[in-house]
Parts: sequence; structure tokens; C-alpha cells
Amino acid sequence: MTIDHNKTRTGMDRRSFLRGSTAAALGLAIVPGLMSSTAHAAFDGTLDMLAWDFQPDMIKVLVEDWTAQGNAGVDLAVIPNVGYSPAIQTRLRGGDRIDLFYNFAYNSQKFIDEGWATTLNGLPGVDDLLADMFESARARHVNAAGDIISIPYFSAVHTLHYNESYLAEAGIENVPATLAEIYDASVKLREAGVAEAPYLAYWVKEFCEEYLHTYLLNEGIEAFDAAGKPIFGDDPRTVGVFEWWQKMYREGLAPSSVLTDDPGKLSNEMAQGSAAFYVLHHYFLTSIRALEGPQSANVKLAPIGGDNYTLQIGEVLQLGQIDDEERRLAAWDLAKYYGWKDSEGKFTVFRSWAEAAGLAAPYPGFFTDPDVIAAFADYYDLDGLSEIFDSGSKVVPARTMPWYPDFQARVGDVIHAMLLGQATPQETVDALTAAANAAQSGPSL
Amino acid sequence: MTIRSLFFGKPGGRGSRSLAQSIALYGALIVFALWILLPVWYLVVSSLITPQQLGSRSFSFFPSSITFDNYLSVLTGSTGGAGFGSTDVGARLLPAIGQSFFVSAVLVVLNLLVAGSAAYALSRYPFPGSRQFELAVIATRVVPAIAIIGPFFVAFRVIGVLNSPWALIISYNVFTLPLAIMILKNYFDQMPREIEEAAKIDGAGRLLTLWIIILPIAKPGLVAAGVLIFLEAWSEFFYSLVLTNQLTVPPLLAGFQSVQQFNWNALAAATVMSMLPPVLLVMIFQRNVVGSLTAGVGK
Repeated sequence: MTIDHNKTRTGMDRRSFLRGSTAAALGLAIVPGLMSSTAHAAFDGTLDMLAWDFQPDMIKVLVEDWTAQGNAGVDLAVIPNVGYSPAIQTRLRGGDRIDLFYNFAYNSQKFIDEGWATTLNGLPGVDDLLADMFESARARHVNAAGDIISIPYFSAVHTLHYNESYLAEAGIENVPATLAEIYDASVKLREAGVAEAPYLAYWVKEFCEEYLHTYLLNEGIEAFDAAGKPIFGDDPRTVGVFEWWQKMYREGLAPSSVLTDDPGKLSNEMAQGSAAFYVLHHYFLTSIRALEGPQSANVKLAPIGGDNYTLQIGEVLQLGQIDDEERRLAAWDLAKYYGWKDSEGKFTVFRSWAEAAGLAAPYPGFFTDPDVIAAFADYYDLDGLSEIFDSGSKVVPARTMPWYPDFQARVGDVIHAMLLGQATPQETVDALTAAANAAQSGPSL
Repeated sequence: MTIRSLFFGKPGGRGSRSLAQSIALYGALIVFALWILLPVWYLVVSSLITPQQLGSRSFSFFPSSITFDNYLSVLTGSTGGAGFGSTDVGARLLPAIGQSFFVSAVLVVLNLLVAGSAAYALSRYPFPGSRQFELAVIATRVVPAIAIIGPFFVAFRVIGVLNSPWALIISYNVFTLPLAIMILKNYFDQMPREIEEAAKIDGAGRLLTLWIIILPIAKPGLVAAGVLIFLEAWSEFFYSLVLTNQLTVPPLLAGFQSVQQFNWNALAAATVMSMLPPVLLVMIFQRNVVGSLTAGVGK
């Protein structure tokens, strides 16, 4: 059975839906009390929640606090991030009932299609939640048919981490933003003897797909159209992006080990001062600073993409298929608390993640909340970060489509082959286009 | 020069290996030992230094200063800190080691009983198709865990043993039993049947013969099989991930890799600690393991 995601179930396409949400946001500003409308479900059982292993004690405290406020009890299970996807899919396929769970955004539509997660259309407050969100983030949670498939667990944007003193030492006055500027700055840094291989990126195979979108967006290139058709190959600038990528690696501006290095090592490289640039999620600044290496304090954040965009990423919360309406409403109340605000309108859960690791939430109000501002370390420019979320970043809606993991699994091999000189940039564009088409025509993973 | 002559010398016994052969042999052994031990040494060193030392360029294999803070943080459960992975994964390490030990130990006992009986029967009482049966048992080893975990999950959900050691003890049999049968069948095949016949002539029944004659002789093979079962169960990841919520050591260690990064120092300390039980076990019984696995090589 194939599912046509272009057809709307609610009679509303994505554009109309988002437009409607914006209108609702205006309404929300006028009626502040609207946001706090919760279901107050008369559910007296225990909800089942599955999360992955990031600060599990914090998760426990957060859900216990929720229960202590007179809500349902939560039976929380936490399993590692590694292997989470096969584990949860096996559990759900095996008939396990999970009321609320963390999920990777790329699995969100698939879980709906499989009947493991439910759409959130019509649930109390869901439209307010969406209206409260940056417009840039909504396409991750609303599919092409206008169905609401998830809400945020956390969000981040790809940014440039740069060593301010190294740039000054090499005589670079402006922080580079475009791919061409980053290349030029990297050459200068090497020539000045500041850093032999100045540019770091988490280019392991599993992560190449995120960089693909980051670099394409940096140049203002859309990778997929609204239907998920790959269109990056039609844009003549795409080959230039791959030429840049290959040049950075083959000219040694990125260290040769970058194809296998993990983020922990890369953060350390920045902290120790062996590199000047590191492109990855904004929150890696927390770890670079926390390492307290000789250069940690000199590392700062800057937007990338110039007048274009960077990639906004984020993982999601989904509601399981729940037959009992009271249980469903109670699970939704928990979801709202966990993925939006508490009953007092505070970003309690997101504030905790910000404090723990600099993670963000895709809500403008998050960045202006005094508690959240206090939770972020002072080396974060929250206004700048908010601006990147608001107008300097995009999500890629295709990344939530059910076929997408098949494509994602192929990107690393194709990109590594190009970086290692086994394929030209044009061949790479063709191979990735073919991989996207094949993923859409074959059975999904 | 054949591989056999390199390792066992020419017929004629000791001293028949040439100097060049000896140099080649010991050279190869040193390279092999380094290959095996260097990652372990890297792990141990990583567990004894700070994140700053770990991140410095040209990793020092002999650190100038060491710290036990990583072990302390794992034992006290404070492996978090600002942005560094899980905060309570350390506190769960010792209970997980206990659970791993329990699962592995129970599995060893059960497997030796079942696999021992099966292997002995296959060795001493062959039946039409017994060879095919044996091959079929061995072939089950190649079935990927993910292909058969679904039915296990459903069955365990129905009988209510999910997230308990029993889910692992039952499911691990899929890969430990064939291994044990394979080893023990080979071992029983090497044992002279004349001893059993002598016992029979002396009036001992089958069970009595098994108990007072076979078991003592088969002890090294049973120990070897037991150690290998223990190691297999100790290091299993996927079943434990799906059927439990981090009950045993491997998924717990995987939990050190968080959404954004790894706490390598704490992970190294936790890994060293979790390696101790199986390493100690192998050191105690290594003579049996090697002896049993190489049984018949000289024939």
C-alpha cells in the first residue's frame, strides 16, 4: 500500500495550515490564557514513556514533577540512543504499548504510517503549540497533508564554531559565513601557521547527510521539493558545493581523520587549539568550553550561510496509538509539558536541557524566557541564536518522509567516495539523485 | 615451511625449529600481542587521565600524571557534569555488572546441562540424520539476532518476563546452546569409548558411568564451554537492549554515548571495570579453554 502524502486528510495543505497557524499565533498573543488550556483528563492509571539515554535522571525528575502536580503516574523506560530505532520498532511491532516516546524526526511519518504513532490533529492546545513555534520549525512536525505528526523534543541549528583569537592572528577581520569565505579563511589560517588543518566537521558516514543539507542550504539550494522529489541536481550550483567539499578535504584543510573522528574528539581539537573552525550543532560550544582546554574560551559561535540558510535539526516526541480517550488525553498533557510548556506557561523541560547541554527549543518565547536565559551559559548569544532559528535556518521536510532513512543510509558512502577521490562532484550529484529516487520507489527500511 | 611446522616444529620434537623460524614465530607473536593489547592499554590509559589529556594532540601512551577521578565518578554516579553525557549511568554500572553476572552464570549452568546431554547423545548415540541435526544446530548461529527477536518479544510480553533477567536467560540460548553443543560434541568425540565400555563391564549403568567416569574426564571441556558461554552472554547487546531497559553491561556502556557526544574518560573507566569479571574468569580457566579448543589439533 502506498500513501499519497500530497493529498490532504483535513482538506488543508501545508501552506494553508501554516498560514492558519500564524493567524492562531496572533490570536494567542491577544488571549494569553489560551495557551494553558490542558485536557485535565480523568485518567487514573500509569502512562508508559520511552526515552533515550540523555540525562536519564533528569528525565525521571521531570516526569515525577509532572506527576506530583496531580497528573498521572509515568512508567519511564530509558534505553541507549545507540540502537534506539531498532529497539523501539521491535517493541512496537511486538505489540508493546508506549504512550509517549522520543523519536528521530526521520522516523516520525513512518511511525504514523505503521500505526505505531498517532496524528495529533484536534488535540486540545495543539494548534496553539504550533502557533507558538518558529515558522521555520513547523514543517518538521506537520506533514504535507497538514497532519500534525510530532512535537519537539529538542532542536538545534548548524553553526560555525570559530576560534576568535586564531582569526585575529591570521588577519581575518570578518567571521566567514559562506562556503567560499570559509575556504579562503582556512587557507589563510594554514598559511599563517595558525592551524595546519583548520576546518573540522563531523563527516562520519552517518552524519554526511546532515552536512549535505547544511552546505546546500548555505548556498541557497533546496534539496527536495514539497513532494520529496530530489531537485538539488537541477541546480547548477550544487556541483560547486561538492567541489568545495572535496577541495576542503583533499587539500588537507580538514584533517584526514575527520571521516572517522567522533564529536568528542573534534570538540577536544577545538579546545586544545589544533583547529580553528568546527561546524556542527550550536550546542557543541558547551562541550568545547567545558573541556577547559587552552583555547576553549576563545571559541565562539557564528551563523553560517551568509544571506542564505543553515540546517535546523531536532528530534521529536510522538504519541502512541491509544484507544482509550482518557489515557490519550493524559498522554497528550504529558507530551505538551515535555515538548512545550508546563501548566504555568514555563519552558520547564526545555530549560533543563538548556542548562544541561545548551539544547534549544524551536519557540521564540523560549529565547526570551528569563529562566531559560539564566539556564544558558553566558557565552551563548541567545539573540543571535534565536535569529538563526527564526530567519536563518530551515528544516528539510523530506527528512520526515518514510522513505528518507533509505536515502540517508546511502549518503555517507557516496560522499566518502567523492572525498576520497573515487567520484567526481558531478558523479556524486547523479549518485545522490539516483539514491533518492531509488529510496522512494523501493520498500522502506 | 608449513604453518604446522612453524608452530609445532618438525617431527622429531624440541629443538628442531631453526633460529629463523623461532625469530619469525616470536616476532609474529609480539605483533599479535601488540595488536590485541594496544587498544586495551589505550582504554586503561584513557580511564586514568583527564579529558584535557585525552584530547591533547599526540596521545601519550605513558601519561605523566594519572587520576582516579574517572573511576570515582563512575562509582559515585556523577559522570555527568556540564554537557557530558548521562549523569547517572555510573550509578547503574555496579547493578548492571551484577545482573550480567547473574544472567551469564545461570546460562552457563543451564547450557552445560542441556548442551552436555545433547552433545554426549550426539557423540555416543548417533541416529539416522544426527549429523544433519548437528549441522542444523550449528547453522542457527548464523541467524541474525534482529531476525528472531520479534517472536521472543511477543512471547515474553505474553508471559510477563520482559525487562527481567529471565528474558535474557531464555533468549540467549539461541546462540549459546549451539556453541556449547559444538564444543562439547567435539570434546566427547575425542574421549576414548573404551573407558565407558570398561565401566559397563564393571557393572556401572549409563547414568552412573556418566556421573563418575565421563564427567570428571570431561571437566576441562565443560569448563571451556562454560567460559565461552559466559563471555558470549556477558557481551551481548541487542537482546538486552530490546528485551530489557539496560539491565546488563553492554547497553549501559552504550548509554555513555549521548545525543551530542561521548564521555570517553568515564566510558573507559566503566569499560575497564566491566571487563574485570570476564578477564578474571578467562585468566583462571585459560588453560582449559585453550586445551579444549585445540583438542584434536595434534592428531
